[in-house]
Amino acid sequence: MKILRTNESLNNFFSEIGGLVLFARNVGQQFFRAPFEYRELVKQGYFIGVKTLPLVAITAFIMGMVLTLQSRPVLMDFGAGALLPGMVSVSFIREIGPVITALLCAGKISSGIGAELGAMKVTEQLDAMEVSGTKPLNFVVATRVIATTCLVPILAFIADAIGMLGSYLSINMYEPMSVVLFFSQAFDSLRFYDIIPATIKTFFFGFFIGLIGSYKGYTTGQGTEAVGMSANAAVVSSSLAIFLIDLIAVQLSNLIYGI
Amino acid sequence: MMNAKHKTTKLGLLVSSGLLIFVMAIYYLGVKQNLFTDKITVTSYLHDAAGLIEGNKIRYAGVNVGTVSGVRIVTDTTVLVTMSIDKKVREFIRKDSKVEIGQEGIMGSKLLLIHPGTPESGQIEENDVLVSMRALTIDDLLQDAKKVIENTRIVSENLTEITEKINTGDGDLAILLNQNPVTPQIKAVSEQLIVVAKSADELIRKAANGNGDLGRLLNDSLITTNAVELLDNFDSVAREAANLFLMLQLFADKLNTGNGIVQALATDSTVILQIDSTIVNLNDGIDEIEKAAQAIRESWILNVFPGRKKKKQYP
Repeated sequence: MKILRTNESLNNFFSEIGGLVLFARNVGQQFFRAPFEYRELVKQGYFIGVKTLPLVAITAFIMGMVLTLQSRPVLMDFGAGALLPGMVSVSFIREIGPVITALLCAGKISSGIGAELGAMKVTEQLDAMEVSGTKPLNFVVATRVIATTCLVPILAFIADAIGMLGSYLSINMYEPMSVVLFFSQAFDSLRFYDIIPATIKTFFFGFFIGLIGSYKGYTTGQGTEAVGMSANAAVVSSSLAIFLIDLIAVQLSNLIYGI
Repeated sequence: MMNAKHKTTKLGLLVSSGLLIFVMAIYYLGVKQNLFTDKITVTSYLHDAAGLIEGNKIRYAGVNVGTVSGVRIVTDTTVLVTMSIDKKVREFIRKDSKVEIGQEGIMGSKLLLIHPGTPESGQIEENDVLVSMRALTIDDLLQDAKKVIENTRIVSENLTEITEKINTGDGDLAILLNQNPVTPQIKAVSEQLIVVAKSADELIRKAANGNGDLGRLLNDSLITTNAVELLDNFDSVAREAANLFLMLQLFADKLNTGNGIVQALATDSTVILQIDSTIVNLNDGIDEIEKAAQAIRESWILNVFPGRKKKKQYP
């Protein structure tokens, strides 16, 4: 009985994966097909980018401060306080900034997309669109996926900058340090192989946040309960996808740059 | 419509800010790694790259002047390191400058240090090869530390041995430390030394006051005057002696070069032989004369007159 249940779970999992791949292919095709929904894209960009910015900014600022405050005593014990800006910059730009931004977007955007599309599905708005000649994959899904793909990296850049600002302020809580010295030391530790892979992976984060949210919403079952489940599943799946992509990105970048 | 435009503006502002941050970061990083400056490429062969990687800094006189642009193994004992150096500092780096691998602090990343060369060798050119130096590594320090620890261990063992000997009463130091009779002896010696010091003090005081010969010698200027006079006399005597020697030398020269009998005696051995033979002849003559006189005395003519014989007695 237990084996059967496991087998069913595995079937469901691979079915979801297969469905997501097919959905991604269909959405990808819409990127290159007319009409290009510019207004919808701007609207989604506004909601995804501008509305998420305060959350991302506050979180990044706090994370920058916390990372500095947590790391400082350890580094001071080793007599390596001067390495603090470099350590924070590498940690934040390589990992914390992109991942925190992506997780926040997964929590806010992916669930929102899942719930919105789920509600549209339940209320048969998507069917109505199709009947009226508007392609829901093009109008609803592709615009959201493009918006998340483009704006999550932008939010990650801003998060990196604000996180570094938080780090600078927390260092100045203990000892005065000029902005020039802080950023000079921070960039001394950085290399292009810290920035480029981190930037590339944020595009993947954004793409999968939008894609998974849309997929979960697009494949919502019947009833209002299914909408909540879709929103929840979108957050969980997106977060899991973020960590998986992060793991693959780290391995690939280490392989490419020979770190 | 206005609302949509407002949203678009805000979105545009967000995207522009994000892209600006990204571009600034890339630019600043590029400046840090000398990507936007004119560069010159030089190489160096190292025995051990010590973890040096592409992008590590190059320092000359404590200033970042470039980055490592390549690290490649050439042979089983050689690593080729390619350096991109800012063209502006080229004039300060000489062809005989030496390259060494360093580190930013104990926990910092590796860097390449360029040591100054001599001005006579000229400034570096494109694709020049700089000589490398072997850097002092942590392993070297550990090796040195190991030797120091070994020496410390030996010293410690020796000290233990010495203290054991002292505790067991072996040796002079042990006697000094362990046996009480030594202390009174030292005390007695020190008392004697105090007495000697007092005597010496008194002596010095007397001398300072001008008492006794030593005091007079130290304090009386008349002695000094006499001594000076004596030295003057010595000086005049010496001068006269020098004249005498000069005269003797002249006499000797005359003796050597002159034609007198003394010169002949001094220099010509034949004259001596002649004199010697003359003396021999004289002796022979005297002997002959004595013999003749003897013959005359014993001759019969003289014996005819015995009265006269008695009167005249020969020795």
